[in-house]
Amino acid sequence: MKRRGFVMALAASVAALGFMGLDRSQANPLPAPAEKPILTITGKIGAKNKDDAAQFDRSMLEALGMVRIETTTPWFKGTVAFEGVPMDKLMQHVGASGERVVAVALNDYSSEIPLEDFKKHRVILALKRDGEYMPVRDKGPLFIIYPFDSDPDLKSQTYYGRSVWQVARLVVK
Amino acid sequence: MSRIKLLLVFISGCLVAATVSLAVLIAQRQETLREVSRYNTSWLASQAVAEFTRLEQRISAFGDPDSDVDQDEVELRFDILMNRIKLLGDGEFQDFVRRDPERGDIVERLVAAAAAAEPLIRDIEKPGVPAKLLALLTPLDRDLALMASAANRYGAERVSEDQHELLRLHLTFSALSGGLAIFGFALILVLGRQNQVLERAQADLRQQNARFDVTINNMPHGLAMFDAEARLIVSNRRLPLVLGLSEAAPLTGLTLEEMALQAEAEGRTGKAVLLRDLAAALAGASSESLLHTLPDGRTLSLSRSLMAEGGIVWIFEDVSARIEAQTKREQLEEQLLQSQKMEAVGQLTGGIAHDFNNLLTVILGNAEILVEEADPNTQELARMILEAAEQGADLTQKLLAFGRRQSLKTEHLKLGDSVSGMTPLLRRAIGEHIDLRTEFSGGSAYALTDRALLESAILNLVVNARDAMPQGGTLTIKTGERQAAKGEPNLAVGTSVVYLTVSDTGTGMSPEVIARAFEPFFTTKEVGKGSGLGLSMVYGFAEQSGGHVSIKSKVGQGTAITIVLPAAHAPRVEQDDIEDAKPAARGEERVLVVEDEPHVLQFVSTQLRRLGYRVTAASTGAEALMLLQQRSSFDILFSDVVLPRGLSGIEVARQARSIDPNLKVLLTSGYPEEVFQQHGRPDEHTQLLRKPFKSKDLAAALRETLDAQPRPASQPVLAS
Repeated sequence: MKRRGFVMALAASVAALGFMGLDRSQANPLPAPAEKPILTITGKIGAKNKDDAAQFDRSMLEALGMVRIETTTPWFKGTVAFEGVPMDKLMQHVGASGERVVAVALNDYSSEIPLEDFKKHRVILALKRDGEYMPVRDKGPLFIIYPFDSDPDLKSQTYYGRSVWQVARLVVK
Repeated sequence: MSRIKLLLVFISGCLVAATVSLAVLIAQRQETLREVSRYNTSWLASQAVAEFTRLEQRISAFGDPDSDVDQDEVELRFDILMNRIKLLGDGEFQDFVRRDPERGDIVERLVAAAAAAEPLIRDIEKPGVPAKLLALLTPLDRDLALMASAANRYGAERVSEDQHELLRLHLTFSALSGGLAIFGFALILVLGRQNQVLERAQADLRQQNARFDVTINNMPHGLAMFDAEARLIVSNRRLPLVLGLSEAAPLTGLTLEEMALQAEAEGRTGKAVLLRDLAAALAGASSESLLHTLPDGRTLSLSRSLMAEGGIVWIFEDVSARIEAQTKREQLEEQLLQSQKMEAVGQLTGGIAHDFNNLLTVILGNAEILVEEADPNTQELARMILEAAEQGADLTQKLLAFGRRQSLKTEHLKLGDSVSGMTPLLRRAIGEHIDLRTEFSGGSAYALTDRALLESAILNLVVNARDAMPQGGTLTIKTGERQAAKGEPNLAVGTSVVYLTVSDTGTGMSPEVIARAFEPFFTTKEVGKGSGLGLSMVYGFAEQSGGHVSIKSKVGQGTAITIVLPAAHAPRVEQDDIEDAKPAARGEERVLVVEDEPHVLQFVSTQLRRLGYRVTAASTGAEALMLLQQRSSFDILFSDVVLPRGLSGIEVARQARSIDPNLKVLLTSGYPEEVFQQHGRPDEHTQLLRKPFKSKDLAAALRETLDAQPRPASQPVLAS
């Protein structure tokens, strides 16, 4: 009973994966980055443009549509305006099918984020702070930002820990 | 009560203090927690060391043809290191740096090395540059590692400190929370207790209020409490009743003037007048209590007490009935005083009359003898003596009548008949200038009284009336029958009475004269014209007959004097007393005469001897009884009733009868009624002769007694 249920669920998810990946790659093939890539996504994704990875340069990310979050953070003084790509949209774009995303920083610091966070909390992958692109020297080029001011629950170590800066790679698991 | 209040204030204060402390503590803890989250001094140091090392690795690898490290990679690592160096400049890491100058030196050298390395990184493709870079960076390796380990220690210490601080805060927080809970619980207990006390006080107050209501509403007086602005704030149910208002609701909240205005608006003018009158009386009160007469004529007693807050309590009492009763009592007392005075005067006059009678008896008797036996010249003188003595006897009769010591010879009389019989006499007495009128009614009613005294009384009243009308006028004699009214002296309410009123149209009397009119010897007539005994006699006669006499008079309008007597049942048989003028009866029987007054004794003895009787004289009762025992051969005992030294005539008669049962007894007295009341009535065989007597009367009475049947059961009872 139990085994049969598990097998059936596995089969269903594999089938779903296959269809989704096929659908995505056929409908919206991911082009190769024209400039120096700043983000690499690997793991359970459908869309790829270099080996098993999906690489993005700055303009590719910006093309996905930028949103803005104004919030206070533990890292900067006062209210700061971030602009970036909704993580949820980015995950759909690459056909992510996992449950978690591991965000890896340039210094190889990593933090695991449940995939559901992105839609639930409208998390963005910020490129700009106060209208300027963030350089590596100032926690750039990418920063995972939660809208901390919109929900008191977000102002905790759990979410501060998931807010990885100097993001270089995302691994969908 | 106040202790509970203090406790409440204390507990509330503690609660507030605890709450504030908790708020402060929470803020502190949050701050501490925030700091803990940022205590990443060691992380910053290690990041700097790690990125420094990675940069060195990339630079070393750059020259190696097997590696895939390009310029971009080296520049990225340099940027990352720059980022970390920048982070070291943060305030948090600076706290750590400032603790040891060597650390600051290391950071400065790192910054300087990075600054020197930056242009070289851009030219890394050029030969020899990587080696230059490494030469620049490598000397810092050891110092950075030392700083990282120091930072690690420092971070651990700070965390430990913060943990202690957190623990301390936590303990304080717990203690305060516990205290808060305890104080909250205590507050609830105290409030509950307070509530209980309040409830009890409220119940007490309600009860007291109810008692107060019952008390003021059941008091017999009206009560009104005014506040300092003269508004009626409390009143009781009696108040409107006492004031004579038909109010069911208590009158409260308004001043009397406002109430009067309201009453006027309602068209109740009577009430408005009353309230204004009352307001004026209360406002004008100069003492603590006063009497006030209301517009309706009733008298109220008002008394006030001032209240501490400036109000006044007024008590209203209707004292009309009490004042009336007091007036009545004063009248009654006056009446009693008057009758006591008359009583005393009566006693006095009675006593005088008694002694006077004895003298007159002697004078009369001896004058009679002189008239019969003396020579013609002397006879004339003796007759004058006799007449004067008879007038004197009349006078004493009047005195005795006033003193109610007259022995009444009662018979059934109709007042109208008596007046009719006297009319010719009365007409002669009043003269031609006065018109005499008579009105008789109630013709069937009788009075049981003494004819002679009644006629004498009528004559006295008529003569007085005549004297009150020297210029002429109308004199009316009215008789009739009616029921006794309430308060008539000597008469029960509703009993039948007969009355006789003699009224004139003469000068009338002032109230002062009326008050003394019945006193003996009081007269308004000229000296020598009146004895002052006329009305006294009428008074005494009416009183003795069980009735009374009253005067109505007004100066200038006339006087009406009314004799009221109890009505009597009709007599069974009318007896006609025919007085026959027989000569003095004589006899030879043995007579024992007892008389204390020597002159009378001598006179009586002489008279009896002259009539043929054999007389033995005794001056006391004891002597008489001794004589009786020695001889016991007397036919009759003739004794005065009043005797000195204990034994009265009545007692002597009784003892004598026990010695000799066949002995006849004749008693004599001037005022026997009094004596009879004192010593008892003589038995039915005993005859009584009234003093003063003439020898003819004495002879007749003695003969009659001697001739009466011995021990006759059918002998008529003597009516004395």
